[in-house]
Amino acid sequence: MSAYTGSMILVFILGGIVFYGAMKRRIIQSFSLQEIVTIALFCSLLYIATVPFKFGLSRIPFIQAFIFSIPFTAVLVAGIRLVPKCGTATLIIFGNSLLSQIISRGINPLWWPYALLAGFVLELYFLISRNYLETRMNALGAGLLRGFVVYIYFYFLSAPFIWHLHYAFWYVCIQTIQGIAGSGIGALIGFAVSRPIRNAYRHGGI
Amino acid sequence: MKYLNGDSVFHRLDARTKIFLSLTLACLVVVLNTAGSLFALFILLLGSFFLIRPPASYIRTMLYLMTVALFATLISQGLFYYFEPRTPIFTIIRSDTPVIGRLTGGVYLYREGLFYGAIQSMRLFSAALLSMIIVMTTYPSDLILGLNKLGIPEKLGFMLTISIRFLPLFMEGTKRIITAQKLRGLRLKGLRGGIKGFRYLVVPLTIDCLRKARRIALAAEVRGFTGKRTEIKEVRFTSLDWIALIVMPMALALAIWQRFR
Repeated sequence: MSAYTGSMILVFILGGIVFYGAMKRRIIQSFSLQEIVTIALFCSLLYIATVPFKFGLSRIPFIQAFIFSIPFTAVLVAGIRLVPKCGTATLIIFGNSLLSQIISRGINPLWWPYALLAGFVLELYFLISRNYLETRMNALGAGLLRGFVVYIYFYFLSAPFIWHLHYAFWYVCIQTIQGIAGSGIGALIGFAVSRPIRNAYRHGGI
Repeated sequence: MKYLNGDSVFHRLDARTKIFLSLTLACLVVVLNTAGSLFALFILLLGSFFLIRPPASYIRTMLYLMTVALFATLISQGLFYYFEPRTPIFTIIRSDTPVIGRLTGGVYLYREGLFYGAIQSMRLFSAALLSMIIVMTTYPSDLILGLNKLGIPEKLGFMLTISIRFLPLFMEGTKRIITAQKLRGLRLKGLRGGIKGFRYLVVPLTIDCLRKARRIALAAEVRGFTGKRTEIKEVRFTSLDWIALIVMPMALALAIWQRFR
């Protein structure tokens, strides 16, 4: 229990670091209504992309991390590329988490740090790389990082402390490697898919 | 699963109380650690679930979710149980198997792990029941209003409202685009067809929805929307809410005291 509480504090510290870093770099900008609505759109697209997993696919042992992370990361990357601003990743991920809690899972704040961590880690990555998924390599890096952090946090902290479920170390390694691979592939797909969408979005095609 | 009209105790509770209820029960699910207390919580929530008088389809969904959760938890905890003592009842990979055996230390199904999994699945059942109760008795817009009243920023609330609005638009757009692609000769049979169909679906669907998003944003902007909104529905605590708000922390405090005494 104390490890989980500690991790929650660390997540908020990470959020503070990201906010401070963004303030220092003067990259914090407010979102226009158009951008907020676009982020909302990607929150629901993320929800739809992961619907099949809510009906049992997420319980398939050994391969669920790989299958799940591909559509999730693809949609996330496409969304961030459309609104390349500090805070977009956190808003999409946290918004999607809240949306699925409101619609199907019931509000459970114990899962909020998990979603916030996934967002903050990406924000920190963008802050350090000074690049909002402008290149394929940057997108790949973001995907791999997301996979690593999210699955390590889930299997070592969320699952044991919220559900009291424990997994063997080798299984966690397998899942994490799959999560990393799936997120990397998802990021590349998202990068490719977002190209025509971004062109239409930027050059008045929409 | 969606909102059900009714007049149960849960329907009458304020959305904010339900959010507190969710938080308290989520904490209870984490804090309780004996089979008896977890079973008692599960029975309490099962009773509450039937109090709402769900239709047969909802009960089937609940049973399906519970079976999947039970099966997955039994298998995972049966295989990965690491407390002692543990009695292997079935060997999947022996520890002396080359490479895999060494890496995993052998994979066995443990009897104690199966029992542990059965007990822990009560947590999943309780969480699933609670989520169904909340979803069946609360409008999503009420939950968003409740979150706003509890301090969630108004713009985030607006974003969530719009997200919910987009869900049926996506479904509708998907059907329309797939029909159009099929009319142009796209075949969706098999895995290859499915992947191809996905490729041809995702870009036009997203662009179509972005167009709608732009219209929504424009409509909000010309009305001078700044994030602040007035509500038609007034939220107010009733005596039922106050009782729930007093009883819930007491139950949680009791559970914490029982666990750490």
